Amino acid sequence: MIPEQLRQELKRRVADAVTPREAAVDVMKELQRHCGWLTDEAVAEAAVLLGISTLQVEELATFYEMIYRRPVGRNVIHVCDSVSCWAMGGETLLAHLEQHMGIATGQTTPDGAFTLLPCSCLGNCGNGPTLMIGETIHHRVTPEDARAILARAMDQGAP
Amino acid sequence: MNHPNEIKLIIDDIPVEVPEGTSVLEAALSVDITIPHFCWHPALGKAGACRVCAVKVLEGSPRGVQMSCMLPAQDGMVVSTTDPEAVALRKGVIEWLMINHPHDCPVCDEGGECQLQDFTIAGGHGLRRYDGRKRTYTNQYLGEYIEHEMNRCIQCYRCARFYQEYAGATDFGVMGRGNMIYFGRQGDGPLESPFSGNLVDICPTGVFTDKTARFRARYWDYDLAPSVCPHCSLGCNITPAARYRELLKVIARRNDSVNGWFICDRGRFSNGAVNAPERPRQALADNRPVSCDEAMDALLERLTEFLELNGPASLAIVGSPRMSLEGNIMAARLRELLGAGTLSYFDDRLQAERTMEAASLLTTANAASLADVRKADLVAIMECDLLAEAPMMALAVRQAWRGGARVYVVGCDVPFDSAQGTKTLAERSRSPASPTHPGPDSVPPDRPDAPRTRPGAGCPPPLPAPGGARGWSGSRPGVCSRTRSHPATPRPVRGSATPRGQRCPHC
Ligand code: SF4
Ligand code: SF4
Ligand code: FES
Repeated sequence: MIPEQLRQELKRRVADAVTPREAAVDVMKELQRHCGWLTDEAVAEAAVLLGISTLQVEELATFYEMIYRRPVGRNVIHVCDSVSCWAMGGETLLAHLEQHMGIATGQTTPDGAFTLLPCSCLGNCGNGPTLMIGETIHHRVTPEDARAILARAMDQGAP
Repeated sequence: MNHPNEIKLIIDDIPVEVPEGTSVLEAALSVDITIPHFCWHPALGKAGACRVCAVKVLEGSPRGVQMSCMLPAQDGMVVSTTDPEAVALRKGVIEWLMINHPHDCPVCDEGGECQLQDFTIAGGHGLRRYDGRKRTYTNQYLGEYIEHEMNRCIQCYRCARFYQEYAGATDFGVMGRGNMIYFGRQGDGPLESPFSGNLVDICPTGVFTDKTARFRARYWDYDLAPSVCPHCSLGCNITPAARYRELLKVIARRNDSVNGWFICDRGRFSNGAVNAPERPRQALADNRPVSCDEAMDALLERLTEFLELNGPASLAIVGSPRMSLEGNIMAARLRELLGAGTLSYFDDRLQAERTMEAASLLTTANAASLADVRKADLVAIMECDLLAEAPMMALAVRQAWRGGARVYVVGCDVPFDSAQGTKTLAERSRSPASPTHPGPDSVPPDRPDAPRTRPGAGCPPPLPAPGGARGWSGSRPGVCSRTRSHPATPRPVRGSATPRGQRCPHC
């Protein structure tokens, strides 16, 4: 169940959009922000709000990389594996992160702090390799930078 | 483009003339040059998704290798489909498309009637070079009629486009993206569209095959004959496929002025009666097997005796509005021949009178074919539940609506999505509700684990009509806006909730 206030807010956004579908990404992101990931309940909720079927929400949810249909950690790290970043060492960066965190791409650290995901193009091709954590983009990330970024995220996220 | 100009171009040294707006692919097809194509389909149009229809533009713009389905034919264009560059590109694309394909033709029901086989061979890809891992999927249970084998998919998007856009159902579509793409439902469960069987015909490969005929025959084993569907009065064109005197499956047969490329599930999956062992296959006279001619003679003899004994007024010859025209005409012939008997086609006088009235208004000039309906700009449906009476008419009305037509449903309590062909009606049409309108054979009971109604899925709003905001008139169609909004009406009247038998007082 989502709070009534959020539901009303989302209803308003859907009503403001030219067609309800246009508000779909917005609705999914807000529900994800609330639940941590886009749960099955959230999909059903989005379907009602948008007036489309759950399958149609699923179509959109699974199209977008930053909508998560499975539980994720508190910080999601997206490492670009598109061609420009790959040419600049993206693959090495991803491998380094896997090793450093002791998880494979797609997994979450046992303490629930980080989820590591590959990602196609963060729109930062001139400054690869690129990594995004939370909503912050980092340019020309070396393995050392990556370790520092993780440490900082750890500090900020510490209770 | 009210008066489409003729465009003249040259394809493979053949001069071609087509109306403006025709794609190069269609122009080539019009002179029997087949360019491989997967995502383009005459009823669905282009998607530019498969990249297999490459040609080379030698003169005209843009020059070079182009996708023929996406390229409008232009005056003075010179196109080659055999240019080595175009051929090489097509070959490469087909090789990519085949990378994940399981090459399981020997156990695939599509084999022999598979566009992917044809175009793979035509494209010159005969030898597999790829020896890496293939993408594999878990298939879904899609009901009793359609078998799902996702590994064979070449992601042309035809199925999703047909199912959601053309047929208006919302329980099947495409999930994921790129190499992680899946065409299916959110979970296992029977497909809800009453037109779902068309997935079998429309998928260029064997992802969807007819489960009712699974592993029974190859294309070249079938006895095929052009035929007409007997399940409602529309007369959709079909090709029944039989083997060893058993009807195995029914395939849609293209007829542009009737059903186009598709048929409904009732027409496709109702073989039961044809194959039923109880069905009379041998004429009998006094329980003695006789030839048909002998049986007819015996019948005539007895009818004559009966008439002599009881007088001409004692005989009724009964046809039916649901019988084929041919059958009904034969009933009239029989009356002529006997010179006796009362012809009866209807079960009550009113029905007969109304039919007479409607038929008398019909002229060659005002009669509309299904093709005309698909292109109509206003459709009024009078006292008719289209999906129950003639499903393909509902699909035709939906196409008109997609093109911007206004649709009115007058005088019956059928919700407006009737004509839209969405799932509410899908369910009704699937359930073997009334004996006169049987659904397809052996409708499986709803599986408890496959809920049919999900939140929000019940009554999707109409899709915005392409090219503008015109859609169904009124926000909740079903009756005309006059009925709905008249100030004397205490509260909005729901089209579907008007009590039975009550007539709109406004016209
Ligand atoms: S399932 Fe068939 S029709 Fe659908 S995208 Fe795949 S190949 Fe095309
Ligand atoms: S609408 Fe369906 S039942 Fe009627 S003729 Fe066409 S395929 Fe047959
Ligand atoms: S048919 Fe042209 S891109 Fe698919």
